[in-house]
Amino acid sequence: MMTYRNVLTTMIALLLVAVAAAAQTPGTVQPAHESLEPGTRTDDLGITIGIPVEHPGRRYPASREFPTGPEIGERLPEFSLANQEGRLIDYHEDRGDSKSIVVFYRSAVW
Amino acid sequence: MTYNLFSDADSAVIREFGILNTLISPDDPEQAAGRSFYGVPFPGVYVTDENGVVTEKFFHRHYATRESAGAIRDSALGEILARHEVPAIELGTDQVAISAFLSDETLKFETQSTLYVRFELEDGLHMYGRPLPDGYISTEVTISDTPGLRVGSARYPTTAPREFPELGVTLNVYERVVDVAVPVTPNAELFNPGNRDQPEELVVPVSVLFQVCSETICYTPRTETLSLALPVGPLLRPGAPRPR
Repeated sequence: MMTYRNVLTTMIALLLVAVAAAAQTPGTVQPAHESLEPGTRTDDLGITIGIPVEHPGRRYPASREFPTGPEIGERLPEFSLANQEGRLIDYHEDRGDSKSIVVFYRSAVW
Repeated sequence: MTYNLFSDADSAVIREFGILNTLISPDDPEQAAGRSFYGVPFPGVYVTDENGVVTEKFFHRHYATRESAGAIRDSALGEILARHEVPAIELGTDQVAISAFLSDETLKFETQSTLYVRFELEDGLHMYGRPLPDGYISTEVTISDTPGLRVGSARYPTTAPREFPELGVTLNVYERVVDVAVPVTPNAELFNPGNRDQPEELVVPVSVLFQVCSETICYTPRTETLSLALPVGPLLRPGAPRPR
């Protein structure tokens, strides 16, 4: 029969293994909130809002190692999306011979 | 300049670009409450040339940190579009006019602007830039620790090598107009979203070290400090009416 202590030790051991495995998985982005006090409302840039840092809306990478898409020197992908007038726009075609600035916001609805 | 606002509601383009925020899972509780965070990208900006090829990109760890409009504009144009209404200060000697100015009219919370320091040298004069042998003073711009401001590394323009036959050396020099760019970001130390009292101005001390030389003589190396008073834009709260 497993005592409480045995169960706890086993669980801790499993947790450590799981964490170690996650740290070694290539391409995984480590979130910043993992190194902060759970439930805290102040993130590591000192920004305090009334929502805990582990809330999905507040999660951000712990380091500069996260995917940032096409590199300098790469052509942006082809894509077509509806614009503010409801028209389907092919980005490169619409851009023509102009330089461009492409901005990714998180959301326009919250 | 024309613009399109695109809706990428199913995050197909976000995924195509490879910038889906993988720290949020489709099973996160907010999804159940009817507000979905899954599908958002790691926010950032790409600047492209005439062929749609990326020439610069701006991504920050924290979603709240963004580049200012002025900083992006200058990167896209490939030159500084200095405007008369941006905060500026000037200092002049007989040999060089020094000015410091911001890329934007105001500082904004967690928005990275560029603080430019411009040296305008008289014809026939030059200053030095790194790398240099010992004994030569390179042009340096330093912004002292200012509470509420995160200061990045100064970017110096490329120097031109110049031979000095009498001295038997080749040195890296700057001539005419020299623009040094320092990224600056006001942070939560300056105005915290939790506070109602927000400052209206931030005074930033900018120190410059330089030595001006002609073909035949060098003037004494100089250190000067310019205090640039930067207006701080109001912190906008979601849903609050925009100030005019």
